[in-house]
Amino acid sequence: MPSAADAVLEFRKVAKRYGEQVVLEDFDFALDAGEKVALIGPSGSGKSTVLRIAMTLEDIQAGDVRVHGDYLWRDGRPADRTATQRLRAHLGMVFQHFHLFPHLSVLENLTLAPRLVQSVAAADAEAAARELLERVGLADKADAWPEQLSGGQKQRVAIARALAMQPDIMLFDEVTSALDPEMVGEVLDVLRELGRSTDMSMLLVTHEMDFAYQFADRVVFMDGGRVVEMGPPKQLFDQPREERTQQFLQRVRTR
Amino acid sequence: MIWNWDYTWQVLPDILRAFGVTLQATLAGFALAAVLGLGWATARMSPWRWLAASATGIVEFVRSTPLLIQLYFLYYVLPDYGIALSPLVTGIIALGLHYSCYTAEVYRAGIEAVPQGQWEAARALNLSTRATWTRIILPQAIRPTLPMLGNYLIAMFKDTPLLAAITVMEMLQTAKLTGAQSFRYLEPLTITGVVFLVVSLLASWTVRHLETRHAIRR
Amino acid sequence: MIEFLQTHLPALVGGLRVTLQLTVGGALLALLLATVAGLARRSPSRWLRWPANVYVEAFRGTSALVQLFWFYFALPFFGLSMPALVTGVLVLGLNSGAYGAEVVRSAIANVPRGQWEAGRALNLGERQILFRVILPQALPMMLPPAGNLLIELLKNTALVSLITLSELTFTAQVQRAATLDTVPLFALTLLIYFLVAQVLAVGMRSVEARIARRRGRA
Repeated sequence: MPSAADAVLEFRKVAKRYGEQVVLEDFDFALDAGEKVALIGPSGSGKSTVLRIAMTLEDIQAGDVRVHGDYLWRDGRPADRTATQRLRAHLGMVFQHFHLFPHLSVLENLTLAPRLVQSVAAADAEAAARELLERVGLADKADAWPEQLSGGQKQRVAIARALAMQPDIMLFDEVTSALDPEMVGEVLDVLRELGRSTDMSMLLVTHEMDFAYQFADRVVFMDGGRVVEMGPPKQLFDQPREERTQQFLQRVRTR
Repeated sequence: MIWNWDYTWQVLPDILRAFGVTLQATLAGFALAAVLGLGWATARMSPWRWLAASATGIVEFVRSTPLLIQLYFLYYVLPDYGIALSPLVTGIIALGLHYSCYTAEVYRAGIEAVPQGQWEAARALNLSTRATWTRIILPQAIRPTLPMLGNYLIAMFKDTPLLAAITVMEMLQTAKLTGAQSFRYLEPLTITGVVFLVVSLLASWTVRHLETRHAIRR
Repeated sequence: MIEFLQTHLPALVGGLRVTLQLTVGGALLALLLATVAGLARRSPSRWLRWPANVYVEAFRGTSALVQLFWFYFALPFFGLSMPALVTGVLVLGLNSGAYGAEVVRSAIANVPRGQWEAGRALNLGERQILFRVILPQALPMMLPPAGNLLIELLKNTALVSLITLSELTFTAQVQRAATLDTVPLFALTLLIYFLVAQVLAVGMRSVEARIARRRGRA
């Protein structure tokens, strides 16, 4: 278990409600530097919300969220604009439905934020973008438009776009769920390569159990807005302690 | 103060009475537009090419040109052909004709929105063309168009002041004459504006309310 | 026929020039107001939202002709007196701008929420997201309704004849009173409006096409 001192992203007693509906309750979780964690659980368990809260796309009613020890949310309230912007720079997110900017070319999708937010010079941003595209295997698509790409290609561009901002914590929200089966592999390959070649901390919400088993350092099972159980993949998948974990795994695992 | 309240109370009854004329013109004009529009829409979908083309041409022409000129046209030309109508009736016809071109578009969109499968099912049941139209297609086509028709009703209401140009004593004309007599235009014109605003806001809310109710029920 | 044109065409063209001045002036003002008010209506700040809402509801909910008369006859009571051309451009701009604000607001609202989220995930500021990500996507959605509003504005220029500005409709009336060539004259006038409307429509369509091409979806 990572100690709080090492945690790059930490949730403490976070509660989130959507009107009457409880989404997260008493949620505690810490992501260690360089750790790869898979977040699994039935739909409605609040997994995606965890990522969205870290990315300040949703608000919370109670609890703390800290990035590298600094408060992003404190007692359910967000930090001020400067602090939020500063801390958000550590995080990158890839969405289930890609959300590429359709009115910009692939290259422009990658260079927009670095140029506007980090004041990177256009030429430098472009060079960095081309390198990233090379890395995700889409160097020849730099001048293409998003609508010309397949789902798998779009998602790889989305990953490159997030990487262009050089975050040290990457959040992946069911990034293969919207893809046709034959394209899932190419995206998972990119994720594997990222895990291998960088020391980024990665938090993935996923339904790809085999991938989670091979890739993650730790797996967290959530249900009803709380952490039910967590541990190394071998332990959680092969010898789950909690009954709810067992029930869930029986339903979803093919082996 | 610039505003004269005494004068306001003095003028108010006249304007409210003129509102009755405005209302008459609106409702009668819209009834005409609603019926005529259906005629245009059917003509445009006719298998006879010349009919469809002429209808499309006329509708496009009327929609793209000012109502005011069409109004003048009827006002000056009809008497030459021996048709003597009161200014109000002339105005109603002009409004009805002009807006029938808008309702025609609305009907056309509504009819085209009925899925192809409905036509095919009707054909498979050997229904006559007439029965297909009146029992299957039109009932499905009209319902979703009602909010849009409501909006055109409100638009026509706001166009009734044009009838002042052919001397119909609706609200604007009344306000103009009252203003000219007393040399004070501020109060009559403002009252007129407020009446329009209140009525069209109420009407818009009603249309939107009915729209949501209709949407939920389906 | 030639004689007829020789008599009337020069005068009508003179009127047309004023009509075009009204159209262009009104359109530019409307564009400005629509953008400002459309964005203001979405603002989280009450101080921006409420004035914008009042403006839009007031000018959409009242009749354009009544607005014209009010600005021309009632405003002087507050010490503000303007020539008919200026009043015309001002009122047409205010009126069309109010409808345009709704077009702007609605187009922005129709850009998928995921685009906002993606921008936020890249740490872009709200204003940067609005101008670099959202508006470019909203723009193609605004063009077709904007084209319709432009043609509405053209038709509304005819109303300014009623405050005695010598635009096309006024000129046509003058010519009619002088020569009593009622039917051909009005027909010609309608034709001129129709042609201008077609030119505007074609112009808007080519703008739509150019915007579409720039986005790589020819």
